Amino acid sequence: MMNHAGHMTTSATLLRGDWLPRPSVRGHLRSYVTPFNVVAAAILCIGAPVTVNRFVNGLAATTNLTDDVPWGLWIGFDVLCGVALAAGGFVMAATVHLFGLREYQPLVRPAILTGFLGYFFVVIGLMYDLGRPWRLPFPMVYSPGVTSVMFEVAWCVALYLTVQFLEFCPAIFEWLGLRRWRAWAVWLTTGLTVFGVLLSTLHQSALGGLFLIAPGKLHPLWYSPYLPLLFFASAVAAGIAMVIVESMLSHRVFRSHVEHHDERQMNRLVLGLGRAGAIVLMAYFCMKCLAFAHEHGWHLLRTPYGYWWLVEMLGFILCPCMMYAIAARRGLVWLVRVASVVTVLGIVLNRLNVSIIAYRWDAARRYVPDWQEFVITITIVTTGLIMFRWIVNRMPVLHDDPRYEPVH
Amino acid sequence: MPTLHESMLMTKTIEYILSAVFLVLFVLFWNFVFGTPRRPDAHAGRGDHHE
Repeated sequence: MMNHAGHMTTSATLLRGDWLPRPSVRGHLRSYVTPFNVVAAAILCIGAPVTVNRFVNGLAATTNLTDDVPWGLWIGFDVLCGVALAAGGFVMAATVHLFGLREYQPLVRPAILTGFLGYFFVVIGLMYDLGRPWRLPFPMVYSPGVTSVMFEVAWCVALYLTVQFLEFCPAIFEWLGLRRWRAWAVWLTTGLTVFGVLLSTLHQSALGGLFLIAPGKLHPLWYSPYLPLLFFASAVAAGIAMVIVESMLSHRVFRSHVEHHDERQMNRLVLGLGRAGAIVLMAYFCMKCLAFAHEHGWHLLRTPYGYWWLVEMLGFILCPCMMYAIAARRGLVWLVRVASVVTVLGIVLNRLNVSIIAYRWDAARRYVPDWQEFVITITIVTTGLIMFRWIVNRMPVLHDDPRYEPVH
Repeated sequence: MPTLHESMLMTKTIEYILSAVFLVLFVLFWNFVFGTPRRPDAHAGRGDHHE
């Protein structure tokens, strides 16, 4: 055994512990022992064997999915919630690059990174959920199935993942010091943003369209022929809320990256987003009410599912909408942040209602996810957080690289 | 017991009335959100004191 100085290690040095890393290296290693890292490592240690179990023994060994209920937690949370909460990327890119509200520029890169990672882990979640994941590219190359909504979703998600990667490329090239490549990536920004908005509009609504085929399976309070429209409107609200939540968390976790930010300017941006959130949530609320009236479901309101629907409508749509409005009116940044958290929870609740809770609501045997499904979901989210931190700590995401002009 | 035609008429009537009500509410809400702040000294920095 060789120690750092290159000398042969003897039993005496072994006993003295000279073969151990030097104190500075040990201190460096010790710096990795943080509460987040410990929890993340524990989650990954549990998630790894469950992943092996999923891919070796199949879905039956790891999930409670059946032929009656083939879509469970992985589709309901990882895919539907993941796509909705990743909408901040196209919302902020459109705000800055298409509508010209350039003061929101500092929020674009974090939103695009969140969006890109969100979509990336949607695809990872899909790999877990598909019985034969190696057939994921089939809609593109082998068996398109152009009459299925899933054909549209598959193409849009694949293309939008690529678009988001390209939109994030300026940050990667700045990190790598590739000035000419970065200039090309910046030149593509407007075109990519237009393409991204088009693709997002299509697939956010198409995810709602997936449930149009199941009017008899989805509870009438959640089923509506306007589901695609409702999914799109709620995704915009989720995107705005996620940008606010993400900037709030980033400012606490990555304090050193944002210490040069003007606090008052950031607060103004958050208030502006709060105004947009209020308007979008109000529009979403009105559309939900009209969809309810269209389905003529008044008699269902005084049932347990009716009460649950009212909880979602009043507690997680109207309530944050009013919070946003009051906060914007009175300049209360903290209230905008609270409203954003409630909005995010509301959109997650809506997607879980549509895909799990109110789906096959009258079945004799209800689907309850297996513990391994929860473990995989938590593992995927944790891996996403680790990747986000890794990228933010290296690339100019929360701060501008002074060597380059900002992207407008 | 209303006939199917009467039921559809009722549903459509409610939809149209609701649409009109929501349109008015939405305009009022927009005005509330983007209107002049009630307190002229209200500005972005105020939220900090409440955190």
